[in-house]
Amino acid sequence: MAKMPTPDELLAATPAFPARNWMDTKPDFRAGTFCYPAKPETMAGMGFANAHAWAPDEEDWHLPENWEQILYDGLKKRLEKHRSLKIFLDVCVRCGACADKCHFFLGTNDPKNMPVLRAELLRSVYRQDFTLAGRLLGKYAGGRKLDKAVVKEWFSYFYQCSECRRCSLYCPYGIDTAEITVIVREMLLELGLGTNWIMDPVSNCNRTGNHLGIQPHAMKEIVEFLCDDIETITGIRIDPPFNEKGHEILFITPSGDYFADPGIYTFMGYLMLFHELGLDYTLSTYASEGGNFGSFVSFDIAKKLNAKMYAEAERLGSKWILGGECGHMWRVVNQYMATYNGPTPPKMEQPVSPVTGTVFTNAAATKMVHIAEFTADLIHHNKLNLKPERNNHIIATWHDSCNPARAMGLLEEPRAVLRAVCNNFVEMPVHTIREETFCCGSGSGLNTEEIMDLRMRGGLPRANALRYVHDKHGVNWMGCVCALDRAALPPLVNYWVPGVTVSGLHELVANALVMKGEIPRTMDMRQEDLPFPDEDPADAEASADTVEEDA
Amino acid sequence: MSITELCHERRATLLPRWTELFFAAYPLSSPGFLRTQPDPFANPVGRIVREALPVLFDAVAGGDADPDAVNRALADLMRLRAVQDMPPSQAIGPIFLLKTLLREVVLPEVPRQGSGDAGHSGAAALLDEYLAAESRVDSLGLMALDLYAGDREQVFNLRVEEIKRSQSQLVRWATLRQDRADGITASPGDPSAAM
Repeated sequence: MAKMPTPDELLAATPAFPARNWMDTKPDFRAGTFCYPAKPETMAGMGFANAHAWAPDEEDWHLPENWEQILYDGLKKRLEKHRSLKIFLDVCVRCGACADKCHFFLGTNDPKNMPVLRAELLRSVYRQDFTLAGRLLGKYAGGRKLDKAVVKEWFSYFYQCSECRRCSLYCPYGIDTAEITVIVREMLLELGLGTNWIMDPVSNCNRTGNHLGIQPHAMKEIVEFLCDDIETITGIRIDPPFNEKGHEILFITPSGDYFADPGIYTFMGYLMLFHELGLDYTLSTYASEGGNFGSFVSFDIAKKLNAKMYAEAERLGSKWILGGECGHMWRVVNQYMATYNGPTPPKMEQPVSPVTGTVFTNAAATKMVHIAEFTADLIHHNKLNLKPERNNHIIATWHDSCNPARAMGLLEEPRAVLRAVCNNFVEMPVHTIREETFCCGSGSGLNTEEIMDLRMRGGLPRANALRYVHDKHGVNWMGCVCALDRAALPPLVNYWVPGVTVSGLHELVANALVMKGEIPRTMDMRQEDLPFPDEDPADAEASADTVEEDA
Repeated sequence: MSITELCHERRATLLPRWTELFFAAYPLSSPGFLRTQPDPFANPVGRIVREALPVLFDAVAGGDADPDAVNRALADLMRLRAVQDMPPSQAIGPIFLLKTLLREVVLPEVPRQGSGDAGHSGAAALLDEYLAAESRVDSLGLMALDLYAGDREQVFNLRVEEIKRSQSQLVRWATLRQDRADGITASPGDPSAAM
């Protein structure tokens, strides 16, 4: 008869020395550890040759027969195209400076989530087949043979990278792991391996213009709902222009801002601000997505989806583009757009704020200004009538969204805006903010519910810092400038730090913005009662009368 | 010497060994990092474990324990373990392994310490005290089970809530269209029409 195991035996811990080399440790695919695969028809619709049905937790992924050749050719082609890739693969000295900077490593404690080792998953194949030392010495030069387990490992770990580039910040060589991730994902797409949460939005953006595939009439009606809500809160009716030609500014924002909660409150903030300024702008139902889902997986798709911004600005005759609060959209705009699709259409001009006259020289090449820059400039020139007291129930902290912070240096502008609209602002600990900010854990297409556990792990370092200021300073609000953050942070915060609300920057601006002709505000953008409502002028008069009578 | 005093005297031995048993769930090359990185913001897993276990250890040792503080420490620990891709037994199990450590380090002291002034009856009383401490480990285990299950349910809830949130306005729009088609006129500004 077998004996019952002791608790110690049941919980037999990791051996003191690993049983296998890291190269021989295979990834494990169980429900909850991977994103659902893309639908073959979606992949085929985007023109991928090897679109097919497959499941990560099945042994056979039904790879095309010549899969090795596809990957070999794919890597060769990319090494020639991206000089940066060759440098990244050659130059790493494995110093390990990046190792403990990745939020996925910190949350999972899986060594293959150290950026150095994640890149090594590709580098080992590169060494084996593309370097002399590797060809001669193989494993002894850090090379390994490409096999199907390597493909699976790539799928597992390059979809546990949110392309946040925190590791790059600490790398003495500036190796950009996000680019390595995009390139590996691009090669996997050539084998027909994509994920649903990325490829469906890519396809929708490609055909309809935004990630849920909302058609123009629906988008217009949804925005009208939000205008109804604005009217309820402020008493002011806004009728935003759609697809109108001849306006100075084309406004483009991530689509999550007009159909997802809590992004909609930020969107309402944009509309209120534009109305108050009398801005000469238009929305577009075609360039109705700022977020570039292609940038998660492929430079070519990113370029194609990005092109619609300029195309629409040209069609509508807009001089420049004002961009909403988004994350990776700004990496694409700031670091790739001018190269992808520039130079800008000839009639576009260097952006100048029509309110303050500020020339945005930083946007000379892209002709596109971030709304936090735009609003910070307004506030700097004292052009807005603000009542920050309306946000007095809020003790806010600021989450620097990875891409605006690290890819465009947008650090001071949102803080300047936040300080102007909210009287209570507390920073999170120093190494967790600004360019060292921790990712939400769900960027680059990982914002899908089937891997919620993984996202909770990946977002732990961010939540951990938030928890500190929540406990110590009573922080109950976290602002951010990224639509993925607004989608990903609410569950993260609900899990780790309940009692903190997540919002965009312009939701707080909208709360504080005093509009001409508005009714006294009693509700915030979420139509919840303001703890410090505006005084009703009628009440104020009555109380003044009482005072007079008393006198 | 009481069990509480014995535990406190050997705290410096017991606590690090117990902590190691929690870290041991992670792949090799990670526990080293968990042990050595002292910055609580650069090492959140290490922080949570290191902050929770002393509170729980003192609760097991006996003496005055603030139930709220114990609950909070255990809740933090379980919230972490519940999403770290390990089976429930692995998530909660190391709590029970404190018994193994107590039996190895504290239990042998019971006959030695108890045979002093009060002789045999002293040893029996001390043994009772020791068993009560072990039972407190069981209590922690039971509390942890509730917390762990609650955390798992919350993750499932978050998944549902996220789907609702990610298309809230689309649902509101579709509901209104359907209502219009059915001849029901809803006020478009009425948020209750959303879902």
